[in-house]
Amino acid sequence: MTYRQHKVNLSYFTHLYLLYNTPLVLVVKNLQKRYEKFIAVHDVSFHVQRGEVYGLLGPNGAGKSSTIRVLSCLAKPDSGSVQIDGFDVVRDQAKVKRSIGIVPQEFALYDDFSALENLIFFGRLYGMAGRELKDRANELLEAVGLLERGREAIGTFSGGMKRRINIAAGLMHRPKMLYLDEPTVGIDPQSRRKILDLVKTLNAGGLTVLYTTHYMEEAEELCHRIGVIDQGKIIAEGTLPQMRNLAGETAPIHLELREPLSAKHLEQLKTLVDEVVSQDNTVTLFTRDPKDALSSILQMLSGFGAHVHHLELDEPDLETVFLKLTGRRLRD
Amino acid sequence: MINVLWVIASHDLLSQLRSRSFLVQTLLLPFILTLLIGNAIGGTRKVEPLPVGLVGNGEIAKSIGALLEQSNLAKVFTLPDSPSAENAVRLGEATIAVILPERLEVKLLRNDKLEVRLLIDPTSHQRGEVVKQLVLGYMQQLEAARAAILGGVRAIAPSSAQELQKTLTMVRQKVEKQYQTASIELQTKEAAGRSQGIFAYYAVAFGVMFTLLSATNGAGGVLDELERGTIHRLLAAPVTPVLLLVSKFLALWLLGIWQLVAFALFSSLIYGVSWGAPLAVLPIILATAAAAAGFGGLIIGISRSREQLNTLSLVFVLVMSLLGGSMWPLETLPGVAQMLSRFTYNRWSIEAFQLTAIGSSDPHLYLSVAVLCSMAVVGVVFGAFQLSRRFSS
Repeated sequence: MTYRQHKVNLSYFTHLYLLYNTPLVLVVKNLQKRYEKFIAVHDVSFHVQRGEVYGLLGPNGAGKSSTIRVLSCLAKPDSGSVQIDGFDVVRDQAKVKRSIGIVPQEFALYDDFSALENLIFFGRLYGMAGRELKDRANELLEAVGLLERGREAIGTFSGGMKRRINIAAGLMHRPKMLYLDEPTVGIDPQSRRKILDLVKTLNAGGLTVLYTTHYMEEAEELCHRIGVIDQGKIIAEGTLPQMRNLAGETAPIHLELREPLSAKHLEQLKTLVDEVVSQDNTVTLFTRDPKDALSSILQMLSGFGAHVHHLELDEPDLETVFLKLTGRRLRD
Repeated sequence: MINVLWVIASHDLLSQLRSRSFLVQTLLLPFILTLLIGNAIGGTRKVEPLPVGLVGNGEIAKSIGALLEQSNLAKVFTLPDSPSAENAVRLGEATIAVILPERLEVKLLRNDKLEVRLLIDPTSHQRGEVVKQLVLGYMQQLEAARAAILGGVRAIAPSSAQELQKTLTMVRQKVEKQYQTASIELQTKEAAGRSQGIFAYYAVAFGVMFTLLSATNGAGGVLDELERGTIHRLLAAPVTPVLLLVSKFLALWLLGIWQLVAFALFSSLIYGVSWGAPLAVLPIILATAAAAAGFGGLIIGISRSREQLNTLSLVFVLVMSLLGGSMWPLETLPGVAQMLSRFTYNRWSIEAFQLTAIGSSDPHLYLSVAVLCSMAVVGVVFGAFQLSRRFSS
């Protein structure tokens, strides 16, 4: 009886326990990669366990793709080490390449070939042939919901369909670990949903996934553990609850007013919440219990004669963590 | 390794063969151009006479005109004076103008200085030179005749009217005899040269030019793949950069072979062009296709983007075709251009195909193959080096 087969029924803590006691598939130690003077990856260390979905979360240009390039044997690390399934990415490239599947950010497919032909081509690169090759291609087409359109040229597909074939191409040779580099960029919500569900299904089948994204909600939904990367460095790492703890216990209430509040009124608001941050006619109030505090806040604002244009209650999330750690929003 | 090499190369080849634009560029365009230009320039396989304007009257002018007409190289028409001759050349009505001095016969007998002017349009190439040589040859014969006349006249020392009559008759006979003996008689016959006619020439010339264009198009595909990300996906598979580069150039080479073989077959069947014995032509096709792949490598190496590659390849192919004999026959080019043409793929390939077409085993054939192979190696190595740098950047 394996962990994978019963994962759905396990409690979160049992899940974590099993994760920490399963072998490591990916170990990254003090990885550094520079392009001329620009340091793209700076002393990055993390590990991924078998059966885990590990999220690398960070804004565009944070170093996610550069990290993936080194992990995919496409770039040599300047220093540090990367081991995949026990093999070193520099010394044992051939073995590493057979252990990993790559799903790049781009639609790395041949538009003038059909979906089936694309999958067969990528399968042949790994030495697959004959019945095994065709069966695997059809199996994956079915898994991504495109079996009926398998003989159509990729060029006629929508962005979402191409993304799914992109994922299938990375899975042809049955890799132990799949790298998904921002697989939902530029597609419609319906296709995005399908891809997220597909990743969950693949992971439920035992596939280890390294998932890079700058969408925090995707990381929250999919990843067992998350590493937040910014300017080439991992600035925080942990499970989702651990990350939320980093944000503290306070949650933000965002207010947009017709006129800016006076210093005197801001001081008075501070008596109701833990912290007040004001810029022009926007005010952010941090409180431990935003729902309870809200009626008192609105009552006080009404007493000031202030008109509230917009009000937003936020839960502390990865965005808050990133904001707190870097002073910038994830999508800046 | 061989399996992966073939998987990638055959995939690239199939990708190109499926493309309509590739088929149009590799087969349709060269066929149409060969048909159009071959017919326009010399499809009838007859040498068209050059229009030659002649200024001058008298027996000598008529004689020169007759000589040129007789050569079949010129169609002579008379012009009244020197300015009208210059005008005729400038307007293209005459390719050459021969301006004889006034009262030529009198000047000849008086031993005056004879000045014959020739106006030649430089675009007339060799045929203009032939006409010029004919006129100069004729003038040399006139000089010889004048010397004979003067010799005869100096020998006259009559003591009586009868002796004078006798001497004059003798001189006349001598001069006429010498003049007749030395007169120029020209017969022009058409004979198939190395190019076996202009039609066959352009079939080869365009075949080579379009193989180069296809190679650059195929090379552009590699840049497209870099942009699309498929190259990186291939490199993340068990494919080394060297293996990937070799398979890409193998595809370009196969593409060139396919194109040249198809063009040779079709032009033989449709236009009746003879490319020579298949076993002799094959090494030239292999070497030309390899050189084209090398040219593709060179173009990839110096281009940073697909747009840049398209522009550069057009410029390079056009210049090489102009200099290397794909636009007009090599032998019609001026000396400097002939020298520069040695740096073009076109020249070596066209010359080699011409030699095999006439069944020659001239050492120049082997030299051409060696040069084409060297060009292939240089281009492929340069392109591979530049691409490998880009793979890891």
